[in-house]
Amino acid sequence: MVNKMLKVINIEKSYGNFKVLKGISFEIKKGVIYGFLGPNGAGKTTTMNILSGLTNFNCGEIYIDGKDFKKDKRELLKNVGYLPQNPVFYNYMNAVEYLNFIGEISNMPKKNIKERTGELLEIVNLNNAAKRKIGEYSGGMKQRLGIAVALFNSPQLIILDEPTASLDIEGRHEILDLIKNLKSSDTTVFLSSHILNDIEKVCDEVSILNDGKILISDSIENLKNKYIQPIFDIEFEEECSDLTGKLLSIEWIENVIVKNKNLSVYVNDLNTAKTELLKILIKSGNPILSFELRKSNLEDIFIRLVNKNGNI
Amino acid sequence: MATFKAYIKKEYIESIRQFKYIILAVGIIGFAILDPIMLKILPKLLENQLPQDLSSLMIFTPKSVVNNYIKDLCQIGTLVVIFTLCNILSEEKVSEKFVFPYSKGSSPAGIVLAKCIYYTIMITLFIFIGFITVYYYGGILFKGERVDLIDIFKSAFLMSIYFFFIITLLIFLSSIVKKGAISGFLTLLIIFLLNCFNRVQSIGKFLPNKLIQNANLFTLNDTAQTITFAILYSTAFIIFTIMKMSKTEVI
Repeated sequence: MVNKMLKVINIEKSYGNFKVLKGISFEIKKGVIYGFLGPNGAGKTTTMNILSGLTNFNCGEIYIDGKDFKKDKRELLKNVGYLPQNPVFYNYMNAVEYLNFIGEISNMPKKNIKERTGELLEIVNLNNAAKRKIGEYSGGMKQRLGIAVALFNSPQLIILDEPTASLDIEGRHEILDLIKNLKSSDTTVFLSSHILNDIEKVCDEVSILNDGKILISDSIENLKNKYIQPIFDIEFEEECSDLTGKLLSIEWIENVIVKNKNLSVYVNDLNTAKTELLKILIKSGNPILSFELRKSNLEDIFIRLVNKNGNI
Repeated sequence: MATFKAYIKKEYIESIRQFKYIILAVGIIGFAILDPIMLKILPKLLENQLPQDLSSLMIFTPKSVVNNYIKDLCQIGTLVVIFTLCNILSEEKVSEKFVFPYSKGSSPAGIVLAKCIYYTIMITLFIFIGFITVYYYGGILFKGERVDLIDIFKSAFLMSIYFFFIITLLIFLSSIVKKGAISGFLTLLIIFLLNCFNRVQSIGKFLPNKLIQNANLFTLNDTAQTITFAILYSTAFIIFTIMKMSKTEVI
């Protein structure tokens, strides 16, 4: 339990008769960037709202840094930072006033509040707009201020719900770099995003949630290995259609698709194919320009799992 | 305590930026300036339109000017206070402004108490300024029966407790009703019903509206029970609001 920042056991949440979370369990190690994926309505935001103390849950257990969330919620939340999907502020305040307000709520000394405010406004690149009313901010600026608020009390666990959703490409990169940097300060990040490329870039581990249940939790590397597609893509120097018949007669080859000088070989025994296929192809005498096992990206894995087509 | 202090400061900024100070000051102190002047010029305005015997009845004294101010404070002043503060919790709840504070572990008790105490102090201050103003102008513009300043303070004190009751009722309704206007109208309805019950001799002294009657008489005699009950009701509203806000899902 000691090196676990967050442990969620069998959490259930219903709104009336509708069960949003049907007993989800996962755990996040300290200092890890953890991605939370799922289609719209899967229960990602509900889970995040529960973990940030904004929504109650019907049953289950939550432990933050080994401490029971139910017993000491308000105290534990002082060590958690949360960025909601659509951050809302007091629009008549400016960024400095709002961050001071958050610092006071977090019971930080005045001197620290001032220092932290300056430091964070610089990190999220809002120093030039620090004295402007928040109501005049663009969506991206509000998102960046929301990140500053989430980070303000230097929490050990940061929960970010779609942090890059309303940002332009440059802003997205800035925020992703910021999230990566949090890792070096040993902060644990729990992050949801529908931009799977972002998750793939920054996360160490992911959970895929669908219909209120966790389909899989693993490291991205393990997932890629586990959900590797048994297809080899080969490029020859010359036309290669003559190979089709020979390859199809091998029992561990299921299908062969030829497109001019490119060949795709679908196999049913990946281990044998890894050692034997290249040897067979070399024997054909047609020079090979490239030979690679088709790799799944997170998006492929996500779609396959969510569509319950894991064996494709 | 950290939440309480932070929210007192936040309410201060909000009152200035959203002109609540000005609105409440006009609604409470404005009549203290206007009433004596209006009463002074009223007989002159109406002298040609009223029969001689009726206009001779319009004799105002410094005391009746204060009574007139109390009447306006209870009618228009109450409306201004209610509809300025009717969104006191509901707007922040509905628009999810509590998300960041709650996610930082802020205490609902701190939020509710800060709002109650801040607006009670602000309105009490305005009420005392209003009473002193009407006392001063009434004394300058009219002759006749006067009230001692100490008795003016007694009335202001009773009216402050009455407004404390209204603020806590409003905050309670604002915690359970989503739309500010609805909590405003519900508060008005309750005040109207209390006025009706106030006429029943046996229960009148347990209702906060009795405070207005005593404020009109400039006395604290026989008010201990009414004050105690008004504070008890207000405390109950505050406790219920804190309980409600502790269980509320703010997103």
